[in-house]
Amino acid sequence: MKRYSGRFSIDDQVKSWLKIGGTLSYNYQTENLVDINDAVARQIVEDFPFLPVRYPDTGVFAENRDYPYAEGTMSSVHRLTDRRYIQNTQTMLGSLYTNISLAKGLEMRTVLGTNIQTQEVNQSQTRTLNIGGNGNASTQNTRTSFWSLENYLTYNKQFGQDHSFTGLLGISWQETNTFRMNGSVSGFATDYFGYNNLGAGATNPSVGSDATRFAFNSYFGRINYGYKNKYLFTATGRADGSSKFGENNKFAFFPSAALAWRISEEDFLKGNPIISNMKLRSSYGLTGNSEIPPYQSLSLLSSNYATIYNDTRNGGTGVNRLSNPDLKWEKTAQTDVGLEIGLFKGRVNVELDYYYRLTTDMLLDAPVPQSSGYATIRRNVGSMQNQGFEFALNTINVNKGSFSWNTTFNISLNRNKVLSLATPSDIFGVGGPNFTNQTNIIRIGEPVGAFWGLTRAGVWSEAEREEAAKFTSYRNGLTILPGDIKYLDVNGDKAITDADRSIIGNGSPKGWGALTNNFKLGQFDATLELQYMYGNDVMLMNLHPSEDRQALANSYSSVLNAWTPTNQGSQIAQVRDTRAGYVTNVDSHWIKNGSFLRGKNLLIGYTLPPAVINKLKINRLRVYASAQNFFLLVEDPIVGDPEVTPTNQGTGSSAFSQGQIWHNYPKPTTYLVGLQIGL
Amino acid sequence: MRHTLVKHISRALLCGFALTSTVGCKEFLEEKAPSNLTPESFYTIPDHAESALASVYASLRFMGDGAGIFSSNWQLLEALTGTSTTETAQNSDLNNLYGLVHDGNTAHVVQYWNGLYRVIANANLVLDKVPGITPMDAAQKTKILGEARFLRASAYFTAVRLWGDIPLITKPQTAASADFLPTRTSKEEVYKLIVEDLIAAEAAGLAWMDVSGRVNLAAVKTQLAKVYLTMAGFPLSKGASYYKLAADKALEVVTYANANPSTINLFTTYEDVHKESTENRVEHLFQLQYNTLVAGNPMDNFYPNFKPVTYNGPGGTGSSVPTAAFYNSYEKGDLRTKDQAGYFYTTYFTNGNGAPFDLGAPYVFKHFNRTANGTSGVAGSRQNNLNVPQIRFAETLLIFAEAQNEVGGPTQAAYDAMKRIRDRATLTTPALGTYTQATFREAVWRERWHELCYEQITWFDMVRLQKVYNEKTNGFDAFVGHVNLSSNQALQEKHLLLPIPKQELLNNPNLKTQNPGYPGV
Repeated sequence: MKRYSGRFSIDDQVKSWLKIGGTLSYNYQTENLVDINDAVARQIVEDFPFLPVRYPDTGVFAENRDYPYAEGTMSSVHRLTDRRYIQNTQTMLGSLYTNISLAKGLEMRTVLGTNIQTQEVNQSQTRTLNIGGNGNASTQNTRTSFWSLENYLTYNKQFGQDHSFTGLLGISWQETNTFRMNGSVSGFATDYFGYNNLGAGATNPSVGSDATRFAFNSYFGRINYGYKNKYLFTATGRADGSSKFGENNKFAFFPSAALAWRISEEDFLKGNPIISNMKLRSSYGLTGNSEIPPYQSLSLLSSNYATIYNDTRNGGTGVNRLSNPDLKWEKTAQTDVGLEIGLFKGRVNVELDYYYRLTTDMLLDAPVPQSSGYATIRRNVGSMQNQGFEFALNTINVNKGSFSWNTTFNISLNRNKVLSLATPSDIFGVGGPNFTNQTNIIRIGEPVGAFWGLTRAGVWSEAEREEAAKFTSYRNGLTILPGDIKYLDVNGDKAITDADRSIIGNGSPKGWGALTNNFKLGQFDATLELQYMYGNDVMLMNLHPSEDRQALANSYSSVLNAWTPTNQGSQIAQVRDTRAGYVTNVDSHWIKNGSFLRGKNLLIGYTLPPAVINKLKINRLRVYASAQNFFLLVEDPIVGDPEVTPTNQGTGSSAFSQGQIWHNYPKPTTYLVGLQIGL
Repeated sequence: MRHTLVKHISRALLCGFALTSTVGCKEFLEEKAPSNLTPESFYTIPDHAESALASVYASLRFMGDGAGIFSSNWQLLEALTGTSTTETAQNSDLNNLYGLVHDGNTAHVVQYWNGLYRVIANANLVLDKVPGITPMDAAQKTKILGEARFLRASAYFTAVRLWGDIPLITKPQTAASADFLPTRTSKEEVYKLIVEDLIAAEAAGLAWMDVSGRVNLAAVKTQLAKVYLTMAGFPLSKGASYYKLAADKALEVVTYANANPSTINLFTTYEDVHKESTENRVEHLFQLQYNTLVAGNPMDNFYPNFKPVTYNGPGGTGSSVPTAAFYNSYEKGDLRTKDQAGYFYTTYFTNGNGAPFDLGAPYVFKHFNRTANGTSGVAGSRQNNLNVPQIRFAETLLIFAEAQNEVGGPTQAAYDAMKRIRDRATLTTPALGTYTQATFREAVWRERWHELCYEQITWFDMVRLQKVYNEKTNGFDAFVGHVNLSSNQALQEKHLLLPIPKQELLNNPNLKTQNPGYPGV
């Protein structure tokens, strides 16, 4: 990755009552992403370890596909070498503001902002990597133009000693326009061009473009009132309008209010030797969510129904989207109660928060009867709740002379539950990747996006041979044998079907947080930061290719513990030739404990003493070394790094994919040595 | 762009100064999708009618769409027949179809339902909107409406045979439509619409053949004959009068073909059945059109499991491969079983055009495209543009032979029709006089199994006849109790219909009941 950027800003007090200013920045970034999907990370596991990278005699890449009955894949090195995926992004950010003092305490501020981004995605594959197309190349250009205009009046007033008042009234507009075009072609006589000469491709040239626009318009106001700095009250109200909603529901009103009581300012606590600070606060507020693509409330046709007459392409226009003029904002009502306590002159600080969030009118594509020809309608499908508890502790353990030691600990707990759905059916097709079966479900009473699958009861044993054979085959139509995976037959029909699937896990953690210790001794400083999460499941999709189907490619070493007549307790099926059949399903064996403890950062620094610094005629010089992500503890090492999100290229992953692992790149361990100079 | 930005900003400023209500600024939040048309802004000129019709043709390709890992939707109609099995077990839905334990969640079942109703919705749009387009050439309009009616009828014909009583939707839908949550319409009523549609298509001025790949008269008449034949059998059991209708309708095509043998005929070789250069011609009365410009041929799940039969090396899944029993059930000397000369292959060329190698088993050659995959000494074009046959003249002949026999025993014409199929297979056929009505009936059925296998036809024969070809006895078993040799599972009464998709039952309470024998909701 390379990045170039520049920034310019100006502020000017033009008149006593007028201040104007602005910023302008430009950023150019080019990223060499190479492998944007699962291909390389997966292939690293699946490449046969006995193959060289290239055959010494021909120089040709050695690949699994050279072996009949192995899955016809290209090697990881071949993919890395012969695929290009370059993303270039230019961003131009600008803003202009004016501040006008209308009267004492009364100000009007106007801010105009723009953000213009152009992004190119250029891809190519060589002729030996893309055999079917004989090499291919594509480019996609997206221009996104955003502007916003905000006007607001603020009024500050102090009434006597005890009453302070701030009022704000504002109005804003935002608009985003996106235009995208792309071209692709295959059939190249050479690999020389990459994506730099699409015209040289011979086969299946394809072009496309699309445009979208969405806009917001808001009216808002806020009042802050404080009494003796003891009682603080804030109330806000905003009317937000979004173009994305139905004709009748563009606008919604979102009020909120907050109260705070600084108990330590009360006479009975003032000067208390133990409690130096104590604040109780509570708030209630309504917020809106409009994070959906535009045009979801309209009745639209699609003109991407191409068909073929006479072996030529013919455009077609047909059904696409059902209109929903009632589509409206998703709303979240949040109640929050918090307590801040400072003890022993701030050496111990505690923060406690409890929240309850009720989300209603959740925005999702809801299934409709497909006899209509449509699959879904965008609608407000239901409600869910989140409740949680947050705790933070900051302590200054030692602060004596040249030695100090601080500790920060925090923990967050959250529980999520779907309360109601407007559709009679559960909602599937969320989460992913789900290339074998559905992986996630949205069901009333359960955490949103819970994992869905069969329950692996183990592997059929020799003693169960007769019982296994009674099952309708779920392996190539062959009799189920000892050594085959045994699933829980929930409905007892001696067949393994969708009726035997259930919720088998949940990707959301029960708790997470961090523990940080800072030390200082003379000129040395050190930081140790640990991060943890517990109670979260991961769905290890990697076990599909790397444990369940053992003979198509290289597997995880866990298959060495597969079922054999003398190792009947295994959870892994007997290793067999692929053609003898094997069984794979999203099941409970893929669900692993995702709890982890991560060494997030270890840092040691040394600041040169003032005597040395003065000689060098600088203010400050510090050298430091750090190791980031320097260890990771998980229950079962096969999980790898539970904190990654699935690659999102063509595998159907989404916001509901939390905890799904499918051949991601793990977080890197970074070693850093640095020098800080202050002039 | 710059101009609109300035315009929007100045409007926003104006609104800002007004600082009052949303009135006047309403336009700012209005939506108009620049890359999509709306039903209100379309269907005004004849080109729109063509574009609308093209979407119906395009929707037919759902059958080739994926159904999970290593599987395609069309395998629904192969897996249940027992004539094929799989060399991989990755797809649990496909396993369940082979094992006859499919239910309302099985992906192929759900996607067939969804795909067919998508075809119907797009056809309904054409039929609703195109009549209102003026000015438009009357002949063009009639032709387009005729094609749409054929395509709608064909989708309903598939759906009614799969599920029995189904929602009958004939108008474009909105979420406010009265039949957005439809009840199930009786099979009888559905067939009524199918026949009406096909009769209208027959009168739409279509040419006998159309090499562009669009619907033609020969296809319409054969489809109508097939509908009558099906109505004569189960579940409507309309009997003799419908066999007569079927025979007469099929005979119209046979008569035309006899008079115009260069236009409609049987191909002389089986190679021509799966060749790019013979598409939409002679024997191919109607095909799904594939070209990599839009979409490549979707039948590669018939390729052997990771054996290098194409330019692309070991890429196939082998998730639909013939059972040995079915392959061995052909008469000795049947050309259709000869390696690469008939409908099967047991050897091929490494990576499409290299050294020959033994495949170790017979695989389906009927959908194999030598041009794309390569053949002896000739590298593949890598562009699998092979169409998928829907209606072949071979079937027209067999419909005629079967229906005519039911009307009054084997006639010379019925005998000749069947004999043409067997002659091409280099089989000798006993003299007409040796057949009774009953033996001729089974002879034609047997020919249907062997000639039309792996073309998503056999399952419908099993359902309409309630008989299944027994590969071992060479006779016919009752449907209920027949054991599919692919999985050793016996067909049950419930299998005559598919389960209604479970999500559909949940989302549309008016459907009320699941088909008998399947888990409801």
